[in-house]
Amino acid sequence: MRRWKRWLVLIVAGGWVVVCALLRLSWALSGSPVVGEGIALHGFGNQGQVPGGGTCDRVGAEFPDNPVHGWPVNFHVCDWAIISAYFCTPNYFPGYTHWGIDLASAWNVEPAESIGGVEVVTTVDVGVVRQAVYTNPPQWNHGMGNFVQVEAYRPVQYALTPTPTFWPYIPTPTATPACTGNARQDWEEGRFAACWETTGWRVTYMHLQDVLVDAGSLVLRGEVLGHVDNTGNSTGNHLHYQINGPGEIGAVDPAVTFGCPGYDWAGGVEKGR
Amino acid sequence: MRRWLVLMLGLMLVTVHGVQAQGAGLAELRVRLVDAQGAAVAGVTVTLQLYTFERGVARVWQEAACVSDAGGECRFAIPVPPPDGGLLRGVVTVEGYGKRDVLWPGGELSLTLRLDRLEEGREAGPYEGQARDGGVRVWSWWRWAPGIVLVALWLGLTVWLYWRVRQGQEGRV
Repeated sequence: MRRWKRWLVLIVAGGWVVVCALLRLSWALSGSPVVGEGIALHGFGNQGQVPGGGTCDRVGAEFPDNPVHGWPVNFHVCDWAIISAYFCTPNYFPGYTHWGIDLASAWNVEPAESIGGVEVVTTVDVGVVRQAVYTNPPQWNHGMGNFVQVEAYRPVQYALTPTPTFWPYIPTPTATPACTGNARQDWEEGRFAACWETTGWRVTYMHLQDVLVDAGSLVLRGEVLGHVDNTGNSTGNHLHYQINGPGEIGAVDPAVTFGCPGYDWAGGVEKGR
Repeated sequence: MRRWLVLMLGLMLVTVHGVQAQGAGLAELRVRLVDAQGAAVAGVTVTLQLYTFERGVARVWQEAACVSDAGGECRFAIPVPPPDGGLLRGVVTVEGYGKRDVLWPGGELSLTLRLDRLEEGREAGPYEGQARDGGVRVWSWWRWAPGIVLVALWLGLTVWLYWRVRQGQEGRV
């Protein structure tokens, strides 16, 4: 009798462990996506996390602490004609405000002018790749397809230059900084050495063909993240560009962050091209 | 004295004209329509609706229409800045073909629109995606099939063992 009870407990408990392991294995074999740090895994077919909430009532608002700036594709830089859509949809999904700009080609007359395959570049000075979601074949991923989300960081401690006059400065590589608290340390000889902390601002680049960065890695302004494609909820090659502020700020108007020359941001009038 | 007066009046006229010209030339949108072969498409009505936002709600503040000329071109002059003083936001509707959003900081914007690809390169309808997954994972039974079979086997084994234990207990009574 006791022997049967022991067997019963063993099979029930052991069986459960085996079942869980096999389920995890089948998920891994069926094309697990590349996911970033801090992302909850939802078992089968993780889709990454949507950028976050927000409202659409701050159109044109500029935030002084917004570190995001620049044109996100190496394609007709600062030519507004490649903007194919601008919209804000609150509660696109529960907790997700879809506020973005679609950059596509207005010059579809010539195949060579297609934005497909064009490089998508980092638009923060320093960022950490928060999510890098890529699958082949691409998954729906809440309509985002393959995407990268970069979290903007700012330097907080310099070990080598107490008061840097310009940035990124080139330090003499004699020592690495000792970061305190939650600051993240990154060191690259001849380029930078600093402790960084998050600003809470995030930029999401969607519908990508490929993802060239790993989740958790440090990226600098202009660094290529991937290439433009048509994955997810998309009617053609384009980049959906979305910026989210920390906390309750949520999604913000990306249009005011392009910072293209010839535009007087205070007056709202172009100074000439 | 009279010469000075004429000079001053002349200067004033030039200045006023300059200011007017500056105002009139604040922004311009040029739309050129082409077909799949790149040939100009004439005689198509193009509408421009410029909108602004009031507490997050879009409101059209200017609307204009024109018919594309022999070169497939339509021109829209926007003589006043948008009410909120920021970027110009609008929708270009090409009758019978579709729409395209426009966004620019002022000045001249030239768009060449290929009519067969007018709505390419953007999100599909915002709620189309929501209908497909809506934040809920898409159920694909075949990915779960091995797990379901294993759980069924494990449950069956447990029940069978329990039954054997019960049988053993009854046999001892």
